[in-house]
Amino acid sequence: MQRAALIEQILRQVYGGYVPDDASITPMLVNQYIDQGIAFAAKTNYTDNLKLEGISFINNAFYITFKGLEVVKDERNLWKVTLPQIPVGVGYSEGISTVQLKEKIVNKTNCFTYSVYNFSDTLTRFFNYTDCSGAAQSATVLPLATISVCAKSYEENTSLSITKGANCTPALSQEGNMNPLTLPCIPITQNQKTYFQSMPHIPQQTLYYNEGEDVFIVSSLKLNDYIASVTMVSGGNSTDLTSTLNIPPDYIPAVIQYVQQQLMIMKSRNQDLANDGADLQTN
Amino acid sequence: MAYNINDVYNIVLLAVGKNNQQGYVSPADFQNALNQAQKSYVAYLLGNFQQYQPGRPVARVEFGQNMVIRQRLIPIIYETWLSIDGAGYSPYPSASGLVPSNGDYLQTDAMWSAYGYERIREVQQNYFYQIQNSSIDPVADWPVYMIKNNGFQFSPANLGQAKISYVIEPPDMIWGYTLDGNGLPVYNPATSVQPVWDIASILEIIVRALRIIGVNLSYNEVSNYANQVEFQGQ
Repeated sequence: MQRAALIEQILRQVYGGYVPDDASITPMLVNQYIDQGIAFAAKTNYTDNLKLEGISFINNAFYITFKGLEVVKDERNLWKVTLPQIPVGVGYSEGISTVQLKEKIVNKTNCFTYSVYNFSDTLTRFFNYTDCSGAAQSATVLPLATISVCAKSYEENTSLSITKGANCTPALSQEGNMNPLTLPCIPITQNQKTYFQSMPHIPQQTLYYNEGEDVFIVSSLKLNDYIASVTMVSGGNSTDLTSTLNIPPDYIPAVIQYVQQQLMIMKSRNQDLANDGADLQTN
Repeated sequence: MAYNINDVYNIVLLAVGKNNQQGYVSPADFQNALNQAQKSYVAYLLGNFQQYQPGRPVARVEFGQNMVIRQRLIPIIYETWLSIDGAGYSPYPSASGLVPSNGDYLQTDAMWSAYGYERIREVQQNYFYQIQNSSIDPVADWPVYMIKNNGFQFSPANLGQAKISYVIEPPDMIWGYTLDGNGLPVYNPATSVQPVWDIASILEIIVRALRIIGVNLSYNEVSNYANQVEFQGQ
């Protein structure tokens, strides 16, 4: 189900039909409640499973894998990955199921920055070059203008003044990155974090813990040449209303019920309709 | 078929003319009463706030309630583009070039962004601080406007354009005439301004005009007739 479709469904229920253009309950407000509702549904699923199966877990359908997350240095032997959202707090590590790393695609070709100046004051010129991926490109240079291009090679042009600069890094696309994933990292809790360094290291395993929206990976390796893939409970991309909502269909009613309850509380409150400088009496 | 202004004048004369000594309504009086009546009718369709109840600011009849009310008002609903200046301000639109005599902006029906039919919300000044600083609905993505004394103030200011559907003041009706050899007025369609209303509306306006004329003439029968039609239907 598309996120926008669920928002519209909830709005129509709250407004008893089509939503007028002066509605104070906005799609983004509902969207915010949906994110909270998903966490509520995941928790409900966790407790449902415990009651039904005797084992606590969250169904796979709640999980989504975010790929290509940047790994940055935080401290010595500590690397940080910022997640798209704070994981749900169910269980000790149910919010995040897997953290894996993958080597970045590094373009080994020699690319340089070229500064290109068009000294004609009337004519537009074209700078033909080969970009770092080997594709032929053509850049427009307006009269008396200078452009900067990251290129592997270029076609000589006497109408232009071309100056070679320093090495440049081409934009690294994560698409098509078929480098292998590492073994999953091992989660530790905040309690374990206090003593794990005093214990023997687990061979060939990398440990991580999460705090808020950050995952911290403990490693003496240089990880900034890696990207992270993190599988976590999430409703999907909440900033894109056209994205697919990542909730199992049998838990959508739980989300709807939660959101409706919040919105009906809002609608049933007295509004301060008098602009008289006095606050609304609440008792 | 819609009534022209002469039909309306004849109906009014017929209603008040049973007693000829009392019942003459001059063209000027007729126009004044009729134009006052049409303003009253428009105000009635837009919603009389005297009928609001505490905590429920909705009139018995109010613009937007259903298609019937919109259909009655449709002759005075216009749509146009607004040009928004760099400070986010746009003056009220006017349909004065499209309708004779009047056509000024009266009330907003809906406001949309220039790209598609995304809504631009109206906010009252006393709510603006919260909406302008909202982190849930940032105005950069969900624009708003405030009504000011002679135009709209948009936020964000860089919208450039907006599309508005709005209600105008109805054109003032004129019963144009020339004087015949006896000095009596004779209807002249060329100098007249016709009503824009359909027959359902024009009868509502006529009874309102009759009530004004009845008061003016101290003519209770006319006032009673007008009240009867207005409250019990035609």
